[in-house]
Amino acid sequence: MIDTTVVTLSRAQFALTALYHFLFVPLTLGLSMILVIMESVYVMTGREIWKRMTRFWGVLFGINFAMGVATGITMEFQFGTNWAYYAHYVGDIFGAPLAIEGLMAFFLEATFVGLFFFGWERLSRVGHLVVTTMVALGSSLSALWILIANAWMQYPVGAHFNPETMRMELTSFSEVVFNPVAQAKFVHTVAAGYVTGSVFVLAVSAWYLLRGRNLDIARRSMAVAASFGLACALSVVVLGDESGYVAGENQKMKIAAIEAEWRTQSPPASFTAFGFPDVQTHVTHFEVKIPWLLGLIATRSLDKPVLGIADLVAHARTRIRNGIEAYAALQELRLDPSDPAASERFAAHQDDLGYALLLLRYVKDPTTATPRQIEQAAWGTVPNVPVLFWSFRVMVALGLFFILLFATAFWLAARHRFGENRWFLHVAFLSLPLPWVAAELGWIVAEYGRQPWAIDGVLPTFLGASPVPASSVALSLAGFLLFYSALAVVDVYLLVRIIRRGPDGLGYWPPQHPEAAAR
Amino acid sequence: MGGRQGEATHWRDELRRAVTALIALKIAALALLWWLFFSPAHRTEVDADGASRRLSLTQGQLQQGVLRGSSQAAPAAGETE
Repeated sequence: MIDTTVVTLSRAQFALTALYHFLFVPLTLGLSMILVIMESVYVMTGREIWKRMTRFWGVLFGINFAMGVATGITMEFQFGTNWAYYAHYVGDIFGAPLAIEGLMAFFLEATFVGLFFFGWERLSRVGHLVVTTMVALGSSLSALWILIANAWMQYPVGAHFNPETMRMELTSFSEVVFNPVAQAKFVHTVAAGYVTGSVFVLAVSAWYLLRGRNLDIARRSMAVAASFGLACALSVVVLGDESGYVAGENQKMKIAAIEAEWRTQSPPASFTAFGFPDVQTHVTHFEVKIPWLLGLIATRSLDKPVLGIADLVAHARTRIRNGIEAYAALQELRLDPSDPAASERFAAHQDDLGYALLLLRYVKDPTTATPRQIEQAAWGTVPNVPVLFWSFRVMVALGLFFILLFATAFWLAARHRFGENRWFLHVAFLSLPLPWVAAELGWIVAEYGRQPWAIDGVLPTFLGASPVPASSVALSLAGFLLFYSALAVVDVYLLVRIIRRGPDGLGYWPPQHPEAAAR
Repeated sequence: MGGRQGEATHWRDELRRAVTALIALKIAALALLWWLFFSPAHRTEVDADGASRRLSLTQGQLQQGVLRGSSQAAPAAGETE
């Protein structure tokens, strides 16, 4: 049997590092694109103020970028240290996009980010804009490859299990790259990053306007953030809907858990806007339903059902029984790889092998599992319903709030009336932490909703962990906590310091030609 | 002129010292991390047989001595029977 303490600690460590790393990713994505917009205006108009804006926001981008890099590397090491069986079982597929991310995207970003900071006086205007664009492109490419890897965990395609090597092996790279889950996740995540960058610029600019400082830069920055943010906030909702549809097709249990849909409703299913899911009684108390909405989101139709948790558990039960057949055949193949009867049996049931592996939590040999153990394993495929239910609803509510925030900002920007609406400036400033809350909740919905699987339907999470001593994992987890807390303090200190100083306090301000600043 | 040159040399020496100290510190930190978490003693080597054991596929057969190598029967550290 597996030591569950090690599994729990390893999961906690990965969750901590991933959630912490994801504080920096969305801002890097968003700010890099905002820098491209600001610098493009500078190149097109030749007005110095846009160059100063790009440089100022660029410094804040640089701090965030460095933190993102430092906190991202540790996760890749964990696949080797804490998740050795996972790395063996799926490394053939999962490793490829991660390696491409490093070689293609990160190298691109890392090369051009230096030129961005030190090339202002050495490159032509257009040359420097190309550099900034490359940084933004590198950030987005980085997100693309990471999300291709992640999407494969949600919806494993283009691979098959090899009984001889005891691992999943790649059969179609294009299927992995063009995985529909990856496409939906990529555009949704990147758009959410753009919203984060826009809220950051909007909030910091609002703070300047409230204090009557750096007015020219703050007003222009707010106008950029308002227009870019509005387009992106609308995109996030549309692309999130696409993500929901793709999950409805491929991860039915996740959708059922998010909706606390205990039983299959007659189509079109209604959406539970509010309620209190009770995991003991399988009832959602005080629920407020919106007719048809869930059916439209998850199936894009009025006549297809959205399966409820009870039906999906019954489906899992069947797959576990099929998986036991695959497991028994695999036992024989491990003894005699050339056994034709075992090969045939394994081929017939191998898609369900992962479901039999769920039984290893309850029994040493899945072929001897009792009906009660099969029932336990089947119900074990249900993720934590209340956590998913609430995380999703708070995320969606924040997404709708951002549309309202940016629409108001856009309306005020169009009328040049930022300065007269102090209430809005206060709201904009106080909204600063909200995109991070939404992004983290989105990550929780995606990853916690994948449980109990590391690779959906293929490898249960508890089987992927390395059999290292629990004390080692506890020690490194404590180390991460301490180190990341220190990094958080340094990061906030640097950001606040730069923002307090403002563009005036940085080395390249005041400009060498004061008359240029007025243009 | 000479004063400015002296100042520049002093600044460069100070920078060299700071960079050297930082690099030494970084190498020491990396060595400590390697020793604590990445040295051979901490590595989990997984091959097909290791994965089989993880999935309990070979447990019964190993106990009966069907598979080669008695060391394969030993559970890995962190696993309990």
